[in-house]
Order: sequence, then structure tokens, then C-alpha cells
Amino acid sequence: MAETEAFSTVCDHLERSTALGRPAARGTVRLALKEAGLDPESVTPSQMAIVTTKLLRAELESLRIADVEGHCLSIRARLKRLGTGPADGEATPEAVFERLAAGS
Amino acid sequence: MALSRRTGERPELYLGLGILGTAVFGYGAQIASLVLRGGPSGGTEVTVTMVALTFFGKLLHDAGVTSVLLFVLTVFRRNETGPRILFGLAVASLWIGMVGLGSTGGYRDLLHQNAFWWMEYGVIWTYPLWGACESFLYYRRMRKRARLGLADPLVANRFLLWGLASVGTLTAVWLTSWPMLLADPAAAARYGTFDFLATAAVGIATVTVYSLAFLPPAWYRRWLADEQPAGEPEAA
Repeated sequence: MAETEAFSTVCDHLERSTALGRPAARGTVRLALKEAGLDPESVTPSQMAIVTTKLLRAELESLRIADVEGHCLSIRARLKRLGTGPADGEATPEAVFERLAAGS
Repeated sequence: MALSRRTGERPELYLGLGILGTAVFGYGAQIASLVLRGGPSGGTEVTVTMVALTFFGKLLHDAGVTSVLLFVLTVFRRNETGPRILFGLAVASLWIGMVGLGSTGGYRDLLHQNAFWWMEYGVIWTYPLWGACESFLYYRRMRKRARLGLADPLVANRFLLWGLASVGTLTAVWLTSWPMLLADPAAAARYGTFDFLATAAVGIATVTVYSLAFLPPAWYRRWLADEQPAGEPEAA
């Protein structure tokens, strides 16, 4: 499965705006996603925004990246422009299991 | 199945057909055949009705197993080649076994065991494992999401419950089936009462877990909400 635009957007930003190289940027985002129980193939922009605030910020601080707050704001703004994204569809296991008790 | 009619989605249809095919009609017809026969080893002359009930019971049960496997494949492993191959192999083994067993006298003599019997029962004894494993793995991920406010704790818990219900199904299948492996029918019959009671207990527990998953009462919802540390609900 291909990575989502939300994942690529965050990786692109870190790669271009910080001292992290491509593998390090992608690895950092992947680690944050794993800690959140998400994966690059299905993460939505709204999920990515929360992961950025709650987990990626700490990851970047531990890597001593300058102006972490500014990067997080910039990433969230770019994610917001993506909208909800195609991965917010109804094909996920979570969406199916949510429906299964929808009538209760 | 009513949900599927409303949503037009397939997973709920597969699950509904799976439960109806296995637990309701499939086992229902096979149990009716067993009751008429007076047990697996019988004692009464086997009639056409008994054979027909066994046939239709197996047909519906195996259709139900196929539906449950389709549910697992569609929900957890959509568009993945390896799981599709696993699904194909399991379904082929199940149906070749079912048809082959019938054509070699397996519907008349319930203790008749051959390669076809092993092909069919090999799948019946293991298919709930797949759903259980997928559900438990996904539950781990959902717990992490719920902690961050990225998932509804009630939905996260539903994966745990469905995994537990699958383990319950597996246990019930094993409990009812293992005496069939005993060579001596009289020895198998000695375990009958224990088996019936144990299977019934597991069945009741499994149905209770299913009801918590799909018809969660208010107190259960409240309990889950209280258990959950506060997170940001915006994405959930």
C-alpha cells in the first residue's frame, strides 16, 4: 500500500526545513505513528495533526531540532490544507466495527 | 444483516451470514440429525432425513465459515495478496473436504474419518484463530489511539471483545470435536455429558461477550468512558 499524503507532507517538511535527512525524517514520523497505533499507509490528515502535537513534537525536541513549535505549527497548517483526505473513508476496520453497534 | 441492508456494505452482511450459517442453522440442522440418530455412534437405522439434515447442516455451516473468513479478509486484509491466498486455500480445503466426505459416506456414518474429513475439520478447528489474532492485534493499536483521543474507547474495546468471542467459538468447536478423535465410540460417548455442559458454558459466555460488543448496555459504555484517560476528542 502507498503512503498517504498526510505522511508524505510531514516527511517533506522535516526533510526540507530541518537538518534531518530523508531516512531520519521518515523514521522519526514512522516512530511517532507507531506510538500512536497508526501507520503511514492509512493515517489521515486530522490524525497526523494530533500525532504532530502530541508525539512528534517530543520526538523533534529529543533530536534537538531548533524551533520545534514553529515546525509543528507549519506542519499543522499544511495538513489542514489537505482536508480530511481519502484515507478518512469507511473501509478501515475501525469504521466497520464502529458501524456494527451503530444501531444500539 | 439488517445493518447491511441499511448501509449497503458487505462486512456486516458477511458477519451476519456467518453467524446464521454456523451457530444458528448449520449447527441446528446437524444437532437435529444427531438427536434423531441418538448420538454420533447411533444405534438406530440411518434414514434419508438424518442424512439430509447432516448434509444441509454441513452445507450451511461451511457457508457460514466461508462468510466469517470473508469478513476477516475484507475488514483486516483488504487488497493483500498473502491473506487472499490463505483464504483461497482454507475455503478450497473446507469445500473439497465437505463434498468429498459426503461422496465417501461421511453423511451416513458420522464417525467416518478419511482425508476429506481432515480437510474439512482442519479448517473448522482453526478458522476462528485468524479473526481472533487480527482482532487482538488491532485492539493493541486502537488502545494507543484511544489514549491520544484518536479513537472511541468503545470501538477499541469492541476489537478485544470480538477477539474473545472468536476464542470462545474456537473453544466450543474444539470441545465438541475432540471426542471424534477417539478411536472407540464408547469412550467418546463417556465424555458426552461433560462436553455438552462445557460447550454450553462456553457458548453462553461467548454470546455474552458478543452482546457486550454489538449491543453494549449503558452501564458498560459508562464504565469504558470512565476507564479512559482524558484525551482530545477532536479527531475521534
